[in-house]
Amino acid sequence: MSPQQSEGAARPVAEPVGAVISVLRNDAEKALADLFANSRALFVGSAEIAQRREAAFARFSRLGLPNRRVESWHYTDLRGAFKSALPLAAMPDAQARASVRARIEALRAADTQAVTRLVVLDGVFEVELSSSHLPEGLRVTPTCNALIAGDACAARAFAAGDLGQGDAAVALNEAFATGGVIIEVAAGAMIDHPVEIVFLSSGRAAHAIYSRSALLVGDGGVVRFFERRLTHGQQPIQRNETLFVDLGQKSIVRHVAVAEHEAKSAVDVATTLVCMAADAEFTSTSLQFGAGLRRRQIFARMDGPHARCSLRGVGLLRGDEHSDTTIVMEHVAPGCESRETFNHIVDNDATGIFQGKVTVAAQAQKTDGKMKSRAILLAEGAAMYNKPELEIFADDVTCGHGATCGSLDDNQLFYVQSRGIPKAEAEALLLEGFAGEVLDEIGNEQTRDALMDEVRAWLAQRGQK
Amino acid sequence: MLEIIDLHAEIDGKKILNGFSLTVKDGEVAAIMGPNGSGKSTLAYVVAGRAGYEVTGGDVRLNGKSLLDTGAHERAAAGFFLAFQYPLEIPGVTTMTFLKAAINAQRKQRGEAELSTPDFMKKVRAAAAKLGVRDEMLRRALNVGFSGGEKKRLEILQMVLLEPSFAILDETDSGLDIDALRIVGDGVNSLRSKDRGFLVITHYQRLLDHIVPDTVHVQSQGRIVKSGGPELAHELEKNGYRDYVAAAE
Repeated sequence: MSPQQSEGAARPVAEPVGAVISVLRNDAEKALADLFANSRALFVGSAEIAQRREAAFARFSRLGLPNRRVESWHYTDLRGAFKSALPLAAMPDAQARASVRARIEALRAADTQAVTRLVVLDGVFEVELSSSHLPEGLRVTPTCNALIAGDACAARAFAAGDLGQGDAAVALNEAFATGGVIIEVAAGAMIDHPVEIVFLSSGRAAHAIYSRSALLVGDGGVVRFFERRLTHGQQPIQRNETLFVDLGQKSIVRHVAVAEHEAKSAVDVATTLVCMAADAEFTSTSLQFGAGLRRRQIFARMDGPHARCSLRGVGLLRGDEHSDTTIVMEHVAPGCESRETFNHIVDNDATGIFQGKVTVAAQAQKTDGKMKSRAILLAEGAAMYNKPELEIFADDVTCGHGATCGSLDDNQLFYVQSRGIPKAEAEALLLEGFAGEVLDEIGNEQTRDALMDEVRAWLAQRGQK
Repeated sequence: MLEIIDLHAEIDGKKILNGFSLTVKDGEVAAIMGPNGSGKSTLAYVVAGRAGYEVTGGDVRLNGKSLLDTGAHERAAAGFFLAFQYPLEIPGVTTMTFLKAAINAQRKQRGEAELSTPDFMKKVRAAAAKLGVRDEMLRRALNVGFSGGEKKRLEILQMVLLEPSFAILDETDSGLDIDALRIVGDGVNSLRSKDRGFLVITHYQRLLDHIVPDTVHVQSQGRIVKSGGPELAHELEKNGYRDYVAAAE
């Protein structure tokens, strides 16, 4: 019976609980199943990894592509955005490398400090484009090599603390990813200069990119870690890249992530999985521009007591861009602290989403969790969806959330104008301050200034329209 | 010189200013006193060019030129300054950044070159020291987390740096303790000159002990109902506004 017929008056009797319901697959889901079945030869790795892939794809088959009926994806219809499954990106060749070399050079030229730069092109680690010299205490292994060699770091990167296992996008990544880069910071090592992963695409053809990278920090290790997702061009692209950050006891990671504007044809899902041992500290600050469809999701879990996790971000959206930031923060150990602070500026017909879920397990007493999301809407058509959620099973905790959404404050605007600053500049100054509030928390002045320059450039473009 | 001539203004259809007239000459310090709701703050906002008020009659002239068709930023560049009763917090913008943006925006409108960073810093530091504004406050976001007294001192600091030819001080004394009142008074007095006029809006006599006015005016029902010298302020302090409110009705 076709689904149309079942809508008629002769509705069939409800299926008994536990019966297998056959899910209707759309073309993209069918194509993904074919792609998985036909790509097995490419899926390098141990038998264990192969098993993980099969299990992950089985999970995906059960879940299907996320759509509005899946609560955690309610505002971002990935299924709708996947008209088909694009072919997996080919291994980058000399021509692909040449096409992005200028961009890597430009990044190097803009460096205000020495940076260990690792380039992941079309989902594959590129030795030739990456820094050749590594500081002491740092080990870098291409994910693909680690998989082939059966290196323990590959198993860790794919297991990723079993975080995000209920998420279909994470499942797809686990099933398909063969590239990426795994960075290990030795126990006790203090890495002076930032380590940066640059994710980019050659944009040669419409293609899909799945990569799995990891930053594994030993006990007491300290590192500044940058992540930059570069614009790739106009070709349709399906990007699903996952990064696992594992913090050992008393380790410190200062993370700064920039996701550049992407074209309307881009579907970009970036997942960060974070595991924290006792007394570890993770601060992450992001600057995110829009795309056709962009989702940044962070699944974090504080496994050890007294860990501290602070996630902050600025989203700048315009046109008809769509950008979704979704966070699941799990407190499972006592005495941990989590902070989420996100400011969005949404112009034109763009859509911003912030979903933050904090869960506190019964044993996670003395949890201190705070979440704040604010948005300034600059146009009638601009939209922001804030969805904070707290799920608390312990009785001695301090948790709170706040969300606001509105236009620029007229009183503030008048105040600034009354000092001699014309309206457009006054608006830019207030918006710069709104973004700056979040980015100011970046300790390193040069890094902060560089990000603020990007904010100003975005605001200046607004003025030109 | 500020000339306010038969000014009528309303907000959301409600008449607030009803034929307000007052001229404050260069070098003069005028004080306006009046009960709550007499339209004192509205007067300040209308002169400063705040959106939302409709001027239905009259004119406001600064140094002979009408301000009414100009924006708030243009009035500032023309030499007008308003010290706010409730200065706004500007998160994420440091006081230093804000001051520099304001000074240079005015200079640009007047066709002057931007102030160099060292010159600007020197100027700010000197003025800040006089007003007891700590360096740390200059590095913090403007007015964010400042006490009431600190915010008012920051207003005076802005006034000192922007060097207006005319300034309105809207209830600058509210929220100030005695020490802060003296510092603010000294700041204003240091700017008094034959080329610059002030209009001080206040509820109380006490600010006028520090900034001694040349003329005192009573505002009620949106216009001036009585004018006199400094002795008028003392009389008001003793007898209140009742007689004048009754006279206006």
